[in-house]
Amino acid sequence: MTLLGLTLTQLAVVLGLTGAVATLLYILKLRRRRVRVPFSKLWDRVLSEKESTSLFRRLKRLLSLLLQLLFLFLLTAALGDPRLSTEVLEGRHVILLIDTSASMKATDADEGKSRLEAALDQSRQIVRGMNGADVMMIVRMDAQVTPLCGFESDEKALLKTLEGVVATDTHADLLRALKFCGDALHGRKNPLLVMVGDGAYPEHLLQLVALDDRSGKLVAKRPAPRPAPRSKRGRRPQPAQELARVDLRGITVRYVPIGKSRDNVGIVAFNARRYVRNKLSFEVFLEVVNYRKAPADVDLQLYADGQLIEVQRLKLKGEQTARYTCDPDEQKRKRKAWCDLAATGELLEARLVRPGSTSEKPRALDAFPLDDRAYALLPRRKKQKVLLVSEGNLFLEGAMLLEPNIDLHRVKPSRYAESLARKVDAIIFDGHYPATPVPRHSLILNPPDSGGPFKVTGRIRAPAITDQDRKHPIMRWVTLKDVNISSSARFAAEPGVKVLASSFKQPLMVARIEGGIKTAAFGFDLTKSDLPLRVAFPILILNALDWFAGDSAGLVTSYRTGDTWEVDVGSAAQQVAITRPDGTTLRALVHDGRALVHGVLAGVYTLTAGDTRQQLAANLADPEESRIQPRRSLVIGGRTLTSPTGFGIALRREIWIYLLIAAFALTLVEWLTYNRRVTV
Amino acid sequence: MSGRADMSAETAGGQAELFDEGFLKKLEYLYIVSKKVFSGRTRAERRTRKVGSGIEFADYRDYVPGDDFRYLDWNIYGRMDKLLLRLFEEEEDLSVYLMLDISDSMLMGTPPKMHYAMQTAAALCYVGLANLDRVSIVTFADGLKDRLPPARGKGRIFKAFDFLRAVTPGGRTQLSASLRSFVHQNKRRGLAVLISDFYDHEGYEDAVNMLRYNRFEPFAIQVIDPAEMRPRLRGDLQLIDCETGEIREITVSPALLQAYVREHERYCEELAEFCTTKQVPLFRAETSIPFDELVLKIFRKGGFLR
Repeated sequence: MTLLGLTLTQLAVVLGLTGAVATLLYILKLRRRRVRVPFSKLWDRVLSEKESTSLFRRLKRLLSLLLQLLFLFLLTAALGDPRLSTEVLEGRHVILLIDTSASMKATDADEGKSRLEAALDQSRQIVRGMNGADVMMIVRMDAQVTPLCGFESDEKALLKTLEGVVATDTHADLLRALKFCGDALHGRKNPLLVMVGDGAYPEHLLQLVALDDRSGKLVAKRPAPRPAPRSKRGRRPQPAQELARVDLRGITVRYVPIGKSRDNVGIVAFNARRYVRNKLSFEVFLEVVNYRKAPADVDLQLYADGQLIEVQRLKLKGEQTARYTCDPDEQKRKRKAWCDLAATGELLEARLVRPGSTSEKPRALDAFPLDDRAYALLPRRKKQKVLLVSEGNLFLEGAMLLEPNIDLHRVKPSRYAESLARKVDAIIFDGHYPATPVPRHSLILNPPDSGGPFKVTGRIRAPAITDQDRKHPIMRWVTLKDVNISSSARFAAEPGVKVLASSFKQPLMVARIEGGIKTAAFGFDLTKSDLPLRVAFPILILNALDWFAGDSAGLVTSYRTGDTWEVDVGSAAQQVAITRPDGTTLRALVHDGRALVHGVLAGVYTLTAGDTRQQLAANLADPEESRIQPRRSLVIGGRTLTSPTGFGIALRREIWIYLLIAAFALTLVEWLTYNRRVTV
Repeated sequence: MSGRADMSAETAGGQAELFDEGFLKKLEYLYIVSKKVFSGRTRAERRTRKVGSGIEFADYRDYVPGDDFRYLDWNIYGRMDKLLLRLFEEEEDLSVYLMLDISDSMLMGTPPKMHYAMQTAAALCYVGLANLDRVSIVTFADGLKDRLPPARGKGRIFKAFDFLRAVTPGGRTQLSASLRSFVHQNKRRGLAVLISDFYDHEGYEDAVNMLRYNRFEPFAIQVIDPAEMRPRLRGDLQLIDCETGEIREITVSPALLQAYVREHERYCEELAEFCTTKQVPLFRAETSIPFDELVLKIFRKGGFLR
């Protein structure tokens, strides 16, 4: 037993003083009520009989005094705020790490609650069970790690903080969260990390955390960390070396498991793209995973702008990952359902539904509906008006005639006027560049040595293209190896200028975005090179026009929640209004025609910048997050985490409350015995 | 507890209210029963041992010269030729002494026992006066106090009221001393109606015996307040004897209260047993019993009135 209130010496003083006062008052004669009686002799006779029991009476009066002293003892003991030694007597620094990732939206908790609701219930119990000296920080973990408060001891404030916790449609960045918690707890007294979640984290990540005996005994030989799987898309790097630095030694880690079902069939990838040769048609790529052990039959419905355009019955084996693409090899065995699709709309939506489910009578497919829907946006189909300012170049015209979506206009350089430029979407200058600013995207072929949009530092004779930026949209699918060029301008590598191709570090092909206007320049005359004779030439020209149109064919038809998206807003606006799928609106700054958006909800976003309006599609698209199977016991760093202790509500931590209750009960007993004349 | 002056006024006022005309008429039909025969001073309605001019035949005796011829029984003389004189019981008055305890203990109770005792005394006084008895009221406490001289006839009842109204209660109960004085001062024997609560620290036995030994016929009326029998006391108290001023500190518990009730009952039973042994009629008059019920029913039922 330990005292957290007054010390033992102080309690002894208080008890001694109050006891002395009580005894003194007890010894003092009370002023009795005076009553006149007609014949006191009768009372004398009664009292003489009672004299034989005077000893007992004295004892009873002594009992009354003892009751009073016991009452004082209980009150004094309550002042000491005694605690059981088994409890954590010193204040703990607790971080309550609540998993708010997408898997916490699974509705497999008791009473039809979501995992997050169950986690919040558990969290409330933990908050209510805190010791008086404990301080707690509540941290939310999804794609970002968000501390919701500082170290706080106020139970009401913590409970109010919990009210604002919501789940997002993003993955859980476990290691970043653990690293944050480690940084926050290291150096503090009695650090304790309580993880509340479903434990549905990648196995290899769990092995990259160092724990000590505080968090549990080693249960098995610690396996060597598996290298982080390489992302196919390369969008989410697995920072294995960084994760290895997550050191939670010296911190007690506890785990509160949430959830109980693994029942899920979900779409983990969904994309669509238009065909280059025919942008009216498109093909889709779909990846569906059955996380159940049993086979599952599901219906895949494909919608375009809300109109159902395709329904497919998917027969999935247990724990199967099925990919549906327009791969010719795949098409030999499957129907061509994913190719040559045609629709008037731009927003595609794929839905997985239980067979037999209708919109009138929807039936839940699984416990995790979030990944049963996926969205994709097809690039806009728009006929591009292109103005070719040239004395005549059949190579150029021929390349553009291949594309039916290009509306080509030709004009001699002497007839060029800004008014003409404003009527088109893009301009190609062939060996000419006007003195006035060009208000449209433009491609300049063989620009003049001065007065062009790019600074020319000289000319190179017979340059050999040694480097090219294959990641740039203009250079996609293009190889300029062994292209013969008679002479080319050498551009200056100024800030903002992107070098597309160079000859021994001397830029020959450059591009730039400035004020929302895209400009590209090839430093050589097409007629004095063999580039127009190569297969790459029409692709190069079309790539440039697609880049101007924003149709980069980069297959960015949907974004992934939890990432920060770089969105080309195609406008000179300084900021953009973003309407999220839940209807809320936020604003983002635009830099170089691009806005940075951190999307946490799956669905369709609308970006509005002035008169320009565009949509974005975002999906969870995370096979690990869709794997909702919870872990009843979580093994981190080879140690099985146990449930948190010292937060029991049933064992009310303040003993002084019970002491006060006992004192109150004692007063009742005293009152009862006094009124019944037992102790008098 | 009322003061003494208040007590007098309240008592007087109470008499005026209680003795209404109807009640007084009822009292006129009552008659105080005396077992003994006392010699009176004046002719009245009581039988005496004297043979005189009464109307109720008592005996014959031989005629001696000088006797009144009117009482000769001429029929006997005609049949037996003897002169026999008819003797009649002469009816005389009865001395009734109403002895009223006016000690401090009689002031206790709600209403005070003194009030009740005065009413009883007044009623008995009226009954006696109506029957031409010589009724005297004597008050006492630690000795004899005031005295209403013997009077006869209903017309004197208002004097009795005035006397009672003027009574100043107070003092300690000393029955023996008071009655010793009484018997010495009153040579004419008669009924001695003792109206008291009999709360005498020195005992009541000697006092009652004093009356008996001096050939008075004692009647005892014990006036009790129900609150004395079953007091409603609780807690730590300081009991003060209203007569002696003695103080007792006491903590009244239910058990103690029960013991007191038993003790009081035993005290009353001891008094009753003593009176029974000495053939002294005793009436227990609780103040909770309506006064007219006591007089008209209980006294008649007990043979005190007829």
